[in-house]
Amino acid sequence: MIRLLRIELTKIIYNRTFWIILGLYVLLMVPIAFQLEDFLNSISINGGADPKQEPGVPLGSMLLQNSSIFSYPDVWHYISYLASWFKLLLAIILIINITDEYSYKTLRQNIIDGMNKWEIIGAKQLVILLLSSFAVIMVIVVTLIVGSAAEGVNITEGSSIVLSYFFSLILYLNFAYLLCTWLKKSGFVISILFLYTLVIENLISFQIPDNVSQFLPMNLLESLVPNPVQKILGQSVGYTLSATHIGASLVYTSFFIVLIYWMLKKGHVGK
Amino acid sequence: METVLTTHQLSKHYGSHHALKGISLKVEQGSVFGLLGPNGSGKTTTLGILLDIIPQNKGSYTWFGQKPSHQLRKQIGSILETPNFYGYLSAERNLKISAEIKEVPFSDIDRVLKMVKLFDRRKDKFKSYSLGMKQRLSIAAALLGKPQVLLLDEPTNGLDPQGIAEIRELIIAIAEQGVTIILASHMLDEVEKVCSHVAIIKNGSLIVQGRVDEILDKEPTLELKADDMDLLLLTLKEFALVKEVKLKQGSYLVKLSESISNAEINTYCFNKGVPLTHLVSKKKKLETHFLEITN
Repeated sequence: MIRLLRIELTKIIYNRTFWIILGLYVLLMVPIAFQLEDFLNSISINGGADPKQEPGVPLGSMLLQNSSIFSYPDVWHYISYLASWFKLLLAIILIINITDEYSYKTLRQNIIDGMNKWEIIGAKQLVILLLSSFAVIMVIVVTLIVGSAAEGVNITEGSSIVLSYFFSLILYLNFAYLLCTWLKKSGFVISILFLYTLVIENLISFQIPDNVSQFLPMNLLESLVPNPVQKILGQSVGYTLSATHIGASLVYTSFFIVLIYWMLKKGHVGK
Repeated sequence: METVLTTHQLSKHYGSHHALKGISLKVEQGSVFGLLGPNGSGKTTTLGILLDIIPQNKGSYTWFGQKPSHQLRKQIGSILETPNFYGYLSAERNLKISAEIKEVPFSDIDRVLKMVKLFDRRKDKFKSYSLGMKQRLSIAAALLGKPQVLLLDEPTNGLDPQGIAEIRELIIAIAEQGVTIILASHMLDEVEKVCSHVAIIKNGSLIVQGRVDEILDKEPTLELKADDMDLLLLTLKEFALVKEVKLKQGSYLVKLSESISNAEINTYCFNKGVPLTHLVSKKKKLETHFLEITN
């Protein structure tokens, strides 16, 4: 395991693209997390032609009804949800990492040199774990900073959603891994990932009942870290960790990994 | 002698195209085994199967008499087609990954880099290397951990004459250390110069397999001339070992059923009263043989 980790770290640490996209992830997420409330408040509703005379109601205050979204326990949910918007960048890092192995033909060289196919998959699972753990740490750090104004509250309350967020990333990144093994070229993979996420799964969802469609992989991501809009609208729908959804995500993840193994065995190791 | 590799009826088809039609090979320890065939004959497919990156449809193979596994692959240094490395990593870091996979200590990296004369450029990125250097780096990677078997697929492909000569010298030097080498090539002279054994394949079928000198010597031919050509013909037809006599450009091409010395045939003809004016023993070149059997 340590050996696989060292192999993958050597590939990652000296890869400039990896650091650029990871930097972009941090640069985009942090300021947006810190400034969303200001941004919401900068939009006035029902204001007059001249804002100075008829100031209107700031959207943020209206939505939040004078309670900050930056307060515990909801801040955990809010930051996790916000972070989940940037998961595509994590997927792109992974997609480049894996499709590079096809374009450099290093996947087949790694096998020739003596890795078996489970080790190949295990090594990439470590990359997925690293990326997901990094994303979770980001959520924890941002939440603690954003929520630092709070006093006398139990800051761990509501933090269980972070676990849910972690499993949603593992699922999402393994879905990307599956597409990489199937399509081998980063452009195709990113296009199909978009197409599936935005179009195909929605089309399927329309055809089947809601209680089934919520378990389609991308809908499942949404169920694991649901949109906190009800909370923002003041309806206190407390988030509870759903063992069913986490279980479903693990079933999908395992299924994707088995499919990847099957493809590698069938010779999907690059030409 | 121990057998390093045995394949039994390896077959592979891509859709309706049969790339391999039951190839059975045997490679003995210490030999330099050439897998010779024109482009598209199935050489790389064969090696791909032996390295577990192409699944065969039928047939089986053993390495060192054992069922193939990734652990056994660590003891085989292999190059398949092009050199495959991470372009953004230096030669040294690329070899660290190879060493890590093969579970070979990093201390071996300097040795192999020096062997292929890349030690001074070890800190440079792989993508800045010339083709010859890339090829040499892949040989360095294959040499990590002093494997007992090297499997090389067209190792001189795309190199300039100097590069080709360097690689061949390196292969011969490694073979002299007792390492078994399996060399796939479409170049006859390469196989002729480097290999002790050869298997010729065409369109996915094995045509012939054996020692290079045996295949070379298979049908020895003599070129003879005498002042009295008619008498020479009669004399030759009486000679027991002669299989066939053909007139070609004013001299007789004589095929023999087995190899005999020039002195022997000369004495025979002289005793029959036909002094030879021209006598050349023509070993059948592998090239002629190769073209004959592959056309």
